[in-house]
Amino acid sequence: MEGRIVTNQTAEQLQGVFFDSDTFFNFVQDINEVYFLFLSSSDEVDIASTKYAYLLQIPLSEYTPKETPIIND
Amino acid sequence: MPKTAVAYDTDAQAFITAAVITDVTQQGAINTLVLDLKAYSIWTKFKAIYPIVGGTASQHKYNLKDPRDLDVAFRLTYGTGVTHSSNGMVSNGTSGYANTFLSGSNITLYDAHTSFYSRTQLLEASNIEIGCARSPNTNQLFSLIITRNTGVASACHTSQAIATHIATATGQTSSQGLFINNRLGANATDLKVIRNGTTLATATTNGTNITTNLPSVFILALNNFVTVNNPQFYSTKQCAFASIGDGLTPTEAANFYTAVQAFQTTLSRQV
Repeated sequence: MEGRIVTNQTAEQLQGVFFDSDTFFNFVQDINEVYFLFLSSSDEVDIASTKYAYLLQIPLSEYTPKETPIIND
Repeated sequence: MPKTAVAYDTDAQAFITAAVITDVTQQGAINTLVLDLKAYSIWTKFKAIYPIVGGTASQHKYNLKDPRDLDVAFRLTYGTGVTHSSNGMVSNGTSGYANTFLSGSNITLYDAHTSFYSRTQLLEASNIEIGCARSPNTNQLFSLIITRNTGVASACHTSQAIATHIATATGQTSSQGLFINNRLGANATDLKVIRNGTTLATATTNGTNITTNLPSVFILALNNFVTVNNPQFYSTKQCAFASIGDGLTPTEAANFYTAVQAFQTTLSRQV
């Protein structure tokens, strides 16, 4: 899976911030605590016309997730 | 002869207007869904109904029971990573989810359900399709798990250890259809996991029920609340309908499925 790497500062500033009336940024950390931004095709269309369009220019990088927490079936 | 405007049910019309549903087939499907739920006398049992119709985030967010663009109306907001289409909404499994803003204070003790219509046949390892928990997660859990790669589908509704009050169906192979986490009463056997109107499993051991301090219910993930909302256990199943409300009798659950499946069939997205 690939996403866009952002700085800790960007993630901390934008986490939970809405880029339109419906959708907010949800950054996630990979196994090395590096923040990634994942955008769906719907998000990319919606963000393109906002002041956050610069995030679309970040190249895609491979993402390795943290270990999934345990929860019973 | 002049054409006569179609008069829809007032609740259906309010949703159609709010969500800007212009497609006549979609309008008719919504109207029929509302009429069917009312005819079955279950309309009032729902606190939130998400028809996920229209194809965009701004249309999918509305609650059919209260189609205002407000948190208190339980309309959805999304974390980045949700893809929207005419068939529903799907998470990337990493960051995408929907927040309902409907929390434990809005849920009736011993009398609650959640539902999720999955269009995806995919047996995942650690998915939760709709629910919420309060840390530590073994103390508060209100969750619906659609068939995992272990063959397990389950409904949990407890404020004690996870295993104390859970309806667990084993040997399942399908992850498609309308799944319900349903509790209607204070006895152990009042908790059931239901698929397409048929009970898959009933709980056998009772537990203290969920309490009103549960956080907001998430769709496409579990809100595993610690000190803030915390999405985990993302699901990548395409959601074409979801609801939260009071518990349903077996007959009501069957009628609910009939209405939802008719809705999906009209939209040509039934599974």
